[in-house]
Amino acid sequence: MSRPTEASGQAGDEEGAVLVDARDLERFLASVEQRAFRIARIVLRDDEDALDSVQDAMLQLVRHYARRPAAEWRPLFYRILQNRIRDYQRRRQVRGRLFAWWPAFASEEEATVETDTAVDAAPAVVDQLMATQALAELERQLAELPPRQQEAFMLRNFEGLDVAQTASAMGCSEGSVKTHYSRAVHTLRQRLGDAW
Amino acid sequence: MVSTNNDSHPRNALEQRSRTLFEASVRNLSADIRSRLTQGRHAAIAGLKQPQPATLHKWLPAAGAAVVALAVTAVLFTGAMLRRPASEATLAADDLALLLEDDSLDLIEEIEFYAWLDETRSDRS
Repeated sequence: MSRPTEASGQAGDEEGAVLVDARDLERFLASVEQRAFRIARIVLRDDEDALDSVQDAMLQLVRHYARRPAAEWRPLFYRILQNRIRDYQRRRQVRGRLFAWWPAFASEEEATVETDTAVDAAPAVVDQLMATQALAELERQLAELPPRQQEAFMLRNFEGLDVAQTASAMGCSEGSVKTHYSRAVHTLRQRLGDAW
Repeated sequence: MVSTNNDSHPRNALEQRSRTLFEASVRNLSADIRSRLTQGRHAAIAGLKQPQPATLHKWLPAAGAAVVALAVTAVLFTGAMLRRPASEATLAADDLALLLEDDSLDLIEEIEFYAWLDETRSDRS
């Protein structure tokens, strides 16, 4: 049984800060890391960028918020992750603009973005193939949603955050979360069709 | 068809199916990805147990690297920027700063989150 760890950093003096049990924090990270990777991967469409953004979010959570109450970790973690994802997207756009005139850089960038999915497609059964295709179509349509709708849909539906937690992770009101989510579902239903 | 999950959020067929597909894709993550996520988690937890160096020491190597990188990049792109209008050159400089920055959003994240938290708490009280 591990004992609470005296975390480094300034968080200990903050109101509401608590002692950290490293094992609690590790269990929390283990419970979110794979889903967080898939969410980041859907948006960034690149394994390395998705891995880096999840690792950044884990590091930042531990460094700055480890001593916050455990109930705050999930929305905080996803808030940091969403910021990291946006940061990677912006950097990619900037790189694209800066190196557009340099064919070698441009083609390398495109090749990175098109890296194949990390999902292991080993079982070559028809159901598996159909599921893979359906998932690919869902990811394609999700990627075309406005960013806030994308976030609301993935946090609510994939990660299972409730409205208050999603609002915390997105830094907006609960009403906005409901609006973004409902628009996302509506648009996806239209684009994916009744059969989906 | 509409059902309800554990946070009383009603789910229609699209929401259920997309959730099922997502869960399957998480279960089917490759061993390599799982392993790298585990390594990342261990590295993050290790940071909890180690004392952080003084702020100035922590930033010195990063600041040095950033200055060198900025100087090299500035030399490389000076010609291209000089041929652009002034506003575009300023934008390009901002872009370079973005590419070179690392943790600049940390403080913003903290301020935004706690401002939001305070607002929510005062709304509820």
